[in-house]
Parts: sequence; C-alpha cells; structure tokens
Amino acid sequence: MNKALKKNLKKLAKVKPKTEVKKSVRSSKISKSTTKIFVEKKEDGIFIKVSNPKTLISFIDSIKKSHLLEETMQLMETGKLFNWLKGLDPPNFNLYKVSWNSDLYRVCCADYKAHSVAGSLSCGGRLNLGGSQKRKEFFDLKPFAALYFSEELDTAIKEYTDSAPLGPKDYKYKVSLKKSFDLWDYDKIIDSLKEYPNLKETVRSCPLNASWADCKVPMPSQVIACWLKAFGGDGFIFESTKNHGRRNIALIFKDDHDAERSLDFFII
Amino acid sequence: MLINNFKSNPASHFQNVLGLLSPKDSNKLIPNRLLEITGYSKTLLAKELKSSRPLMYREEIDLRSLAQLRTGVFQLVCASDLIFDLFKFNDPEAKIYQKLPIEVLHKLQAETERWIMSPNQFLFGKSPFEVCISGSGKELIHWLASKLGREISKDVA
Repeated sequence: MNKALKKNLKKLAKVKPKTEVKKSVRSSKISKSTTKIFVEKKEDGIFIKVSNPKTLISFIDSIKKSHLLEETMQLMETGKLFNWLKGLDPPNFNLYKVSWNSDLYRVCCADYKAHSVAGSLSCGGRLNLGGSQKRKEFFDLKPFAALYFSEELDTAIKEYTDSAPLGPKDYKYKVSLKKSFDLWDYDKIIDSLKEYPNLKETVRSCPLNASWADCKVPMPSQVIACWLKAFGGDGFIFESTKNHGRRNIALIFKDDHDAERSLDFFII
Repeated sequence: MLINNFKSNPASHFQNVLGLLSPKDSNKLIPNRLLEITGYSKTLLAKELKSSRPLMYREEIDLRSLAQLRTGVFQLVCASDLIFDLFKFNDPEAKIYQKLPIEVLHKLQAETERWIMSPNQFLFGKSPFEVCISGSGKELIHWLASKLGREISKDVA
C-alpha cells in the first residue's frame, strides 16, 4: 500500500459520522417485526419514519380502522367537493326541473308522526343536512328538513326494509299532495357534474334509511343538495338504489305545519 | 320481552335467543357461542372484544367486573333478541304456532345470526355485531325497539 493511500485512509478514520439529532415527542412500536416505526410530532405536522414498506402498510391500516381518521378523511372529501361546487356557475333550475303532483308512498315507524320534520332536521338524511352533521368548517351549509317518499309502495318498502324487516309498528302511508312541487332532477345534475371524479358512486353510496344521527360529517350527497337548494326548488327526485328504475322523492319543508298544509297522509 | 325498569339486573330480562349468555347465570358470556356466530378465531375475537386472548379459552366469562365488555355484550344480546322478534313477526310459519317448532326456531336463529354479522345500510355498512360490541348500538336498539313498539331501558342502550 502506498503512502498517499495510507494518509487518505487515516483521514477518513478521523471523520466522525454525522448524526441527526431529533426531538422525538413520542414513539410507537406497532408490530412485533424487527422494524420499528418512529412517529415524530413537530409543530407543523406529524412525520413517520419507516425502513420497511410492509410495516408502513400495516401501520396505515391500523390507523384507518380508527373512527377519527375515517371522519377526517370524510371531512377532506366533503371539503374538496364543497370548494369545487363553490367555483361553479349556478345551474339553471328550468333545465333540471320536474313538476310532481301525483300520490306518493312512505313507510315509517308509528313512534314518529309521518309529517314531522323534527327528526329530519336534527339527524339529517341522504340529501338534507341535519344538526348532527353541522360543522364549523362548513358554516355556509345550513341544516334543512326534508321528508322522503317513493313513487310506489313497493319501492318505499324496499328502501325501508333493506336494513331490517317490517315490524308491527311500521306504518305504510299513501300521501296525496295538495299542490304541485317543482323538483330538482338530482341524477341529471350529478350527470352534469361529470368533471368531478366518481361523484355518482360517492352519492349513491350514501344510504337513504340510515342512522343519520350517528353521522357527524356532511356527506357529499348533502353538500350537493345544499348547493342546489340555494337556487330554488321544492325538493329532489332521484333514482332508488333498492328498486332499479324507480324513483324516490325528497320534499323540503320549513316545519311540521308546512308539511301538514301541503300533504295528506292515509294509512294503508 | 319487556326490557324496561331493570336497573338491578338487565341481563335477567333478555330472551337470549342466540344463547350468548349462560342459562344458569345471565351475567356470564359463553365465548364459544360467540366464536361460532362470528366465525372469528380466538385471537381476532379477543381483539374485537378488546379483551385478552386467554379469556376466550374459558367456558364462561363473568361480565360483572368487565364494564366495557358487559355493555357491548348486553347491546348485542338485546339487538339480537329484537331482530329475532322482527323476523318472527314476518315469518308466516311462526305466526301459526303458539310455541315455535324446533325447525322454525333454528331457521329464525340462523336468520338472526346472519343479520348480526352482515354489513348493514342503517349502520353505514358496518355490521350490527361491530357496532354493538363497541358499545355504540344505542341508536340501532332504539330503532329496532320502535319497530316493535317497545321501550328500552337506559341501562342497556
């Protein structure tokens, strides 16, 4: 070995390796594998450092299971749609208008008055934002009440009994309208918003008959309905997901008296 | 099944149609029955119940000292009792008999078990088992009870 090479080797040996000094607030070990995941919390966010991508996937899966992240992800999706809709030109109601004055059908529990909007206003529904989904992030979105009907009894029953069978206290109603309602053709609107990716699937995945009181985040279907309501209309007409080719109708009412004035309910 | 005013011992008012609670002491869970219904492994079930795996090897688990698990199990038993009655109400065969024949009973139990484990639209795609065992079955129980015209005590939901 020559002298020059020996000198270089000595120099290299003297150089100390640079070490990164990190202020680790908390660290977590999420699996028994040899790879550890260190989560560092800094003021501007959380940084995750992993050496094995497989561990990262399992880590993400474990976080996804938590309700908090589900809610955050839904909020992000809703926020994205909300901002996108804000930038659009107002839709022309006359292009999407459907006038309706035929009889409708509704199935609901005897515990609740068929014309009562209280539950709808507090819990929300597929298209109407309720108090449960009211968030400070979306202060523009205001809760409103809507009653849901189907154009035929079979569809109403199918929509209602998808989650559990009919009980002795579930009443079937035939509803006659005292006036004509101008409705938004909701599906036509969704088709016209084709620039937004997977909007149809996202909207259709929102259930009609669900425990909406447990839903604490505005859903995309509700955001679109809120946006449309600002431009007029008495409600929405949309295709049933439970009875193909048949339609459901959501009528907007201010209060119980408004609903009583406009509708007549008959138990069948 | 009247599940009202039972602050002392809610478990004694359950029908326990799926046999999740011990017939001798209704404050004890039979983990093997829960394993059968869910089809889960012992490890997975212990994870779902947020309890330890060795507990799953016991014949019975005393729920008196496990408050969180107790709430979850009671909600599950209550929901399964209510849905069983709803299936019974809709079954033409069940309407004929005063006392259910064993075949009809098994059929209704199977329907109840299937419903308990299936994703439900009412619960935004979660299964009633998932929701109840986590202790969030209040809305579901009240909804099922209202369909049957029953009242539910605050002790359960």
